[in-house]
Amino acid sequence: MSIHPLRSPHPTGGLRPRGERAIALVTVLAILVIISVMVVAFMSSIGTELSASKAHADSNAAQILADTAANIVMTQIRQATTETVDSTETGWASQPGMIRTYLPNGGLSKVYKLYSSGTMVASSISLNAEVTDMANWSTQPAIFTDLNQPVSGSYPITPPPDSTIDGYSLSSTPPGASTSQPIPMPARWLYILSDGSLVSPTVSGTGTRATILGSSTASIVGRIAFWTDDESSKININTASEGSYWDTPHFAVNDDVNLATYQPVNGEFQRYPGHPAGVSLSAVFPTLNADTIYGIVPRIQPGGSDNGTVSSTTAIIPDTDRLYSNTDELLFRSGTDGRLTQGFTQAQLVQSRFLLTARSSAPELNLFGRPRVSIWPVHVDFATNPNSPYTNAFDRLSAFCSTYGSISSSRRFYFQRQDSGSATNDYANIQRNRDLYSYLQNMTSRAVPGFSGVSFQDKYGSDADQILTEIFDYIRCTNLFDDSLGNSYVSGTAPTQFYQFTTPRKSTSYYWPGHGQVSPIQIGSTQGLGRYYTISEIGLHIICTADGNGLAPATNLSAYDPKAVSNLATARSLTGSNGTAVGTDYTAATATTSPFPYNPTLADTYGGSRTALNSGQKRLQAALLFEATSAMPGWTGIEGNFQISVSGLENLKINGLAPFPSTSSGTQTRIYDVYKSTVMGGVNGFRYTVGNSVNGWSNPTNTARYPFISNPFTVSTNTLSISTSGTISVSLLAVNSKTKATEVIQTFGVSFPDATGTNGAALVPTPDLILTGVNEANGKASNWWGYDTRVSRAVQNPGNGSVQYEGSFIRSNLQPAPASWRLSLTDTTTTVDPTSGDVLRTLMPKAGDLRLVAATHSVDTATLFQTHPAYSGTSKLAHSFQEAGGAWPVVGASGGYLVSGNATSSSAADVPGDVSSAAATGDWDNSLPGFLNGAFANKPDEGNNNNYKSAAVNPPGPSFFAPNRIIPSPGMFGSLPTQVKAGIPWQTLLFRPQQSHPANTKGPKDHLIMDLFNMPVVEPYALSEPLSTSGKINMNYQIMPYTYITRNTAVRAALKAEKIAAVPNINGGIKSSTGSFSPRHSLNLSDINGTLRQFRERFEGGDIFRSATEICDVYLVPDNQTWISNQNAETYWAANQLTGDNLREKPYTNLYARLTTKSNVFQVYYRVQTLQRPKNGTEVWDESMGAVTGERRGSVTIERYIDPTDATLPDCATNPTGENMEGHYRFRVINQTRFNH
Amino acid sequence: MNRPSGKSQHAGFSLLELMIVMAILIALLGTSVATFQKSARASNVASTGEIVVGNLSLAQQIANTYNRQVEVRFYRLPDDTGAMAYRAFQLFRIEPSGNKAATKPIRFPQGVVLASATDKTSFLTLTQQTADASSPRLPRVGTNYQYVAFQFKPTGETSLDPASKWFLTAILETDPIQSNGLPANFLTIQIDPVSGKPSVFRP
Repeated sequence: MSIHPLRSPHPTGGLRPRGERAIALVTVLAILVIISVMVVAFMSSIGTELSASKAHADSNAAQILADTAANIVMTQIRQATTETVDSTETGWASQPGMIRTYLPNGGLSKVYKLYSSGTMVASSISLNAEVTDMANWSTQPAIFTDLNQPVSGSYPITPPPDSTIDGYSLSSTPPGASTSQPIPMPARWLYILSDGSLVSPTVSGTGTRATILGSSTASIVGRIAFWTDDESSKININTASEGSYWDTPHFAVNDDVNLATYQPVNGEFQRYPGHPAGVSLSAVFPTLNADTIYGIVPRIQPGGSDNGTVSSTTAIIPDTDRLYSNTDELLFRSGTDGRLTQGFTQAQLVQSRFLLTARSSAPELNLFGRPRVSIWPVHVDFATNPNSPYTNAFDRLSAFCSTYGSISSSRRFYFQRQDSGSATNDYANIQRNRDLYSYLQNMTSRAVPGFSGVSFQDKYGSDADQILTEIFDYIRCTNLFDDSLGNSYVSGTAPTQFYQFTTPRKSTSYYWPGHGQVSPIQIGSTQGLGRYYTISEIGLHIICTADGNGLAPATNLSAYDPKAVSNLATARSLTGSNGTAVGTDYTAATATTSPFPYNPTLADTYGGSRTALNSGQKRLQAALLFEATSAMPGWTGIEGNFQISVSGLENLKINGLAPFPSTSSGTQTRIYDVYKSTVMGGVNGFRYTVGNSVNGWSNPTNTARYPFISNPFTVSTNTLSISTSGTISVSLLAVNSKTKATEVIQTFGVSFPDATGTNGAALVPTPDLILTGVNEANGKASNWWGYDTRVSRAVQNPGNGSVQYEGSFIRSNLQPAPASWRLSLTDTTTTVDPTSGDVLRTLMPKAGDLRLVAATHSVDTATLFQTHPAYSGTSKLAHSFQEAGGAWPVVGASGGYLVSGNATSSSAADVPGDVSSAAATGDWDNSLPGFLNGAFANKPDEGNNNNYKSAAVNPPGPSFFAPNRIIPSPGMFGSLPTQVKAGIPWQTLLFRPQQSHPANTKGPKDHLIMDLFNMPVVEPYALSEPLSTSGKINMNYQIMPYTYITRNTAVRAALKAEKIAAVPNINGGIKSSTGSFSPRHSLNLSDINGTLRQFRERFEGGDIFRSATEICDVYLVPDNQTWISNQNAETYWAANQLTGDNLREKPYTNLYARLTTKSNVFQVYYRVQTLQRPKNGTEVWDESMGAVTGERRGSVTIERYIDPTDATLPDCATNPTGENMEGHYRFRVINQTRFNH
Repeated sequence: MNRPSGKSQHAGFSLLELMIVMAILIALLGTSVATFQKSARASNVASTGEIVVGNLSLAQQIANTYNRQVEVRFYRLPDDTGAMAYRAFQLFRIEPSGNKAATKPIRFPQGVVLASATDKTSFLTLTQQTADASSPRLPRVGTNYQYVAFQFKPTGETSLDPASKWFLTAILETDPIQSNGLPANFLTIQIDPVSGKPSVFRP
C-alpha cells in the first residue's frame, strides 16, 4: 500500500476509520447549522435596530438638507447685500421672500429670491409669472410642494386668515386652494444630487416626474423647498405695545390743551412719538384693551398720563419682565408661576403666529451700506470720561448705540458738542465732528442707489453743504437743557460752570442769560440756524420832536397843547386854560419851582443851544430799530445773551442831511426782557432790543443809552428823501455765558433803498408831532417828544394796536382826539390814526423767510431782505414790527399772510404782505399755541406744560425727560431751509408728499437725506445697538411669491395710533382761541381709499419701497377722508392750507422712526426630503417609483449681524470711499423649530 | 484487495450499538428539549420586551425622520383555538394620503400575550377599535381583529395623556396566575408619554 504523503498518519499507524470520518462531517454540518441558526437569529434580532439606524441616518441626512435650505438663504442674502456692479455698490431692500438690489442710476439691478425657485437670481420680477408658475402645483408633486400643508388641522406657517384681524387676508383665491387647504404656499423642489449639486428640475409628463437637466452622473439623494419670511414684516412682541398719540401742542384748541396738560411722563413709552412701543398690538388682538396689552408685553406699564387722560408728574418705572424668546411664550405670564396670561387664548396665538415675532431687527446703515449718524448729541467730555457729568445714562447709551470698533479705536457716529457760546469751536475743535461732516459730504455727493441717479450735491449745489451744516447745528441744538444733569437751578449769580449745554435756570420760571441760546455753527461759508435771536426786521424810525406851527405861547394856553409847547426853547411856567399851572411833571404843585422845561431836541447836539422853530418847520429825530426773532421757538425757552453793534450810520442821509452822529454807532448791550417779551423764542419784538436802556438821545458817554439815535434836525417839507451814501454795518454778537466773551455771529450790510422821489423811488412822508399822548405816570414833559422817554419806558406795557400805554414806542395820534392829551388807561373810545404820527420804514427778510437770514453769516440786506410792502407808499407807518410772539400788534403794523387771501389770524405772520411763495410750498411752521406762525425751523420740543389756557413756564423736569420723546427721527429736519445760498425763500426739506413742490423737480427726493441719520432708541432698554435697531417694521409687506396673501397688519399697527393735523382754510381762529374744533385726525388705513392705497398700488406695479424714507411720499389719509387718487389728497390740502409744514411732516417723522425697508432677521420655512430611487437612470425622479426615506419640515430663524467689536470694521467716516459695512455681516441661527404634528 | 487484515472488525457499529447510542441520545434530547422548551418559553417574554422596546425606538425614529406621526397598534388576535388576546403589533406612518405601514405586523413570540387587566396593561384603557373592511388585512386572521393604538410625534413625544402612566405587561398565556394577578414570569414596559422613552421591569 502507499501512504498518501499528505495524510496524517493514524495514531495507530493507519488511516482514520471510515466511521470517524463521517463523524467529522456530521460535526461540521452540525456546527454549520448552529452557526446558520445563530446568524439568522442574530440578523433577526438586529433587524429592528438596523431599521432604526437607517432611519436615523436618513434623519441626519434630512437635517443636513434643512441646513442646506438655511444656507442657501444666507448665501442669497449675502450676495444681495454685498452686490457690486462695475465696482459700485448697489442698494438693497427686503420683503418677505425676496431682496431686491438697486443701481445708483435708480434702476433695478437684481432680485434675489429667498424661496426655492428655478431662477434664484433674476434681473426682473413679474408678479403674475410667479403665481402662474405655481398654478398647477397640486398636480405636480415632483416639481412643487406645499410648505404650508396642514397636518391634523395645524399649519406650519399660517392658518387661513381670521377676518377679525385687520390687514391679514387673501386678496384672491390661491392657486390650487381647496377646502382642506385654503392657503397653500407652494414652492419648487430643488433636487440635490450625490455630488452635492442643486438642481431645479423641469416638469415632465403630468408633473409626477421631474427631469434633472444637465445629464449629471450623480444620483438624486434628496430635495428641498423653502420660503423665507421677513421678520421685520411682523410685530415684535418685545418692543410693541399699544400706541397712544401725543404730539407737541401747537393749537389753541381743546385737543392740544389736553396734549399740553396730559403730557407723557418718563417711562410712558407708548406715548413717545415714533417709539416702537407705539406700535399697536391691538391690530392683532382686537379684543384686548390697552392695559391688558401693557400687562402682557415686557417693560411697558400702564399709568403716567394714562393714555392722555390724567395729569401726572410721576415717572413710570418699567417692569422687569424678561423678554420673550418666541411668540409661543405669549401664552405665559412672566414670573415663577408661569400661569397663562389673562384674556389670551391659544387659538388667538395660533392665528397670530404669522403676524408676530419675538426678534426683529433692522440695520442702521444708509443706502450706501455705511453707518447712519446719530441725531442725539453727546458732550465731548464723554469721549475721554466714561462717567462724564455732562452726560446722563441716556446720552451714554445713545453714544454706545452709535459707536463701533474696539475701545482703543472707537468709531463714533454721533456728533459731539461742547460750547454753545461759540460759532466755531464745536466744529473746529472736535476732529470727529469734522470727520463726520466730511463723511456726510461724501454721502451727499453720490447718487443714491435706487433713486434718480443724481446726488444731493447735484441737486442743491452749494446749498448741499449748507443743508448739512444746518442739520449738524440742529442736532447740536437738541436737548439744550437737560435737567437730569446736576445744578439745573442756580440762584445768586450767573454760573460760569454748568453741565447742561446752555446756561441753567434761576428757578423753575426764570432763566439766566444764555439759557437755551446756541451760537449758529459756522463751517466754511455755511452757517447753521443755531438757536439764537437774529434780526427779523430793521426799521428807520423818524419822529417829530417839535412842530414850528405855532410859537410857544408866553402866557396861558388855551389847552394843554403839546403841539404848541413842543416849540419851547426856554423853560417857563405855563398855565392851562383852567388856571392850573403845568410843571415838569405835569402837576401844578411843581409849576413854580420846576417850570415847564424847554424842548431839548431844539438843540442840534445833546446839550447844545436851542433855537425855536419857525412856522412850517418840524424838528425830527431818527432811530434804527431792530426786531429780534428766533427761528427756533419752543421749549426750553431762550434767554437772549447777545448784543447789537452798528457802524456807518452817518452814511444815512435824510433830506440830504446826515443826522446820525458818529456817536450813534456803538453797541447795544442792554437787550433785555421787556413787557410782553417771550422766553419761548420766535418773534420777540423790537422793544426787546431796546431793552432796559435808560434813555435814548442823551449824553453820548452814557453807556446805558440806546445808541442808534440821530441828532435832531429840522425839515420844512411834507416829504422826506432818504438815501445812503455808504454801508451801514450791523453786527450781532453772542455773549459766551461761560467766558463772557463776545463773538460776532452775524453781520448785516444794511442799505435802505433810496426814497428820493426820483427813478420811481417815492419820497417818505414827514412825521407828525404826537398830539395825543399815552399814560406815562412818571414821564417828563421835556422828554415827551424826543426819544428819551420812549426808550426809558420801552420795558413797560405798550398797550396794543388800538390803545397805547406808556411802553408804546411807535406812536400815532388818536382818533378822535381824547379830551386830555394824556390818555386814560381806561379810555377805549379812541383808535390810533396811522396817517398821523411817527414815520417808520422797515426792511424785512425776503418774502418773510427769516430762516434764510438766520442761516447766513454775512447778510446783505440788498439780497436777503426786502422793503416792507408799504415802503414806497404814502402811509406814515410801513412796518411789520410785532410784539413778542406776535400776539399783540404794534401800532400801524401791517403784517402779511402765509396763505394768500386768507386774512385770518391763523394765516397771519410776520411777513411782508401775502406771501404766495409760502403758500405755494407750504413750508412754514405752526408755532406754539397762541403765537404767530411763520418761518421757523421746528425746534425739538423739550417739554413744557404751557398751553393757551395756562401759559405757565414750568420746566417739565426729569420725570418728563426722554430723548426719543424730544426727537423721534431725522424727520425733524423737515423745516430746515434748502435754498439759503440760492436765496430762495420758503423752501425747506420736503418730507411729505406734495406734487407741486419745487423740491420734486429734480432728484433725489429730499427725504432721502433722512436715510443718512438715525435716532437710537435707548428706552426702555437698548432697542438700538450698534448698527441696528429692534422692532422696526418693514414697509414692504408684499409677500413674494404669494401675492395672493395680504399681510399688512404690522404696518397698520405702526400707523394705528398716529394722527395727522389738518387745519381747514376756514378755521381762522385756531391760533388764538380755544374751541372744540379738532384738527388732529386718526388715519384711514384702508388699502383701497386710505393710507395703504399707495402701498398696494406700488406693490401691484411691481415695485417696493426702496427706502423707509419713502413713507414721506405716501399721503396719510385722515379718517374722515376717502382718497382713491393722489389728486384727492392735493385737493384736500389745498383746502387745508393753514396746516404748517412741521405739523404735516410730524407724522412722517414719527413713522420713519418705526419703519424700515431692510431686515436683519429672516425665518426660513423649509420642507426637505431624503430620497431613494430605483437605479433606472439618474436624470429622472418619478414620484411613484422612488421612495421618500425621510422628511423634515420646520423653520430656522437667522439673523445677520455685525460684531461691533470686530477689529476689521472700517471707519467709514474717515474713509468713506473704502469698503462699506455690508461685507462684515455674519449670520447666526437664533431659533430653530420643527413643524411637528 | 490490499486491505489490511483485521480491518473488518472496525468496519462500523453494530445496529445494537447504534440503537443504544440513539436511544441514549433521544433520552438525553428528550430531557434537554423539555428543559430547553421551558427556558425558551421563558425567554420569549424577554424577547418580547426587546422586540417591543426596539420597535418603539424605531417608531420614534421614523416619526423624526419622516416628520410624520407614527402610530403603534397592538393587535388583539385569535390563536388557533380562536382565543382572542393581544398577540402582535405594527407601526404605521400617518401620511396625508392615509396610513402607510412602516413595519410588517410583528407577532409576539409564541405564547406571549399582553396581560389583559388594565392595571397590568394600561394601554388597554385606550379605545379599542375593530378592524373593518378598510383596515389592513393581517396574515391568517384577515380583518378579524381589534386593536388599540397611540402615536409618536416627530418630536419623540407620544399622543398619550401625560398625566397618566402608560405600560404594558407581557406574559405567557398559559402560565399559571399568581396571587398578584400575574404569572411568575412577566415583563412590564413603561413608556414615558412625554419623552417616549421605554423602561423595562422584570421580576
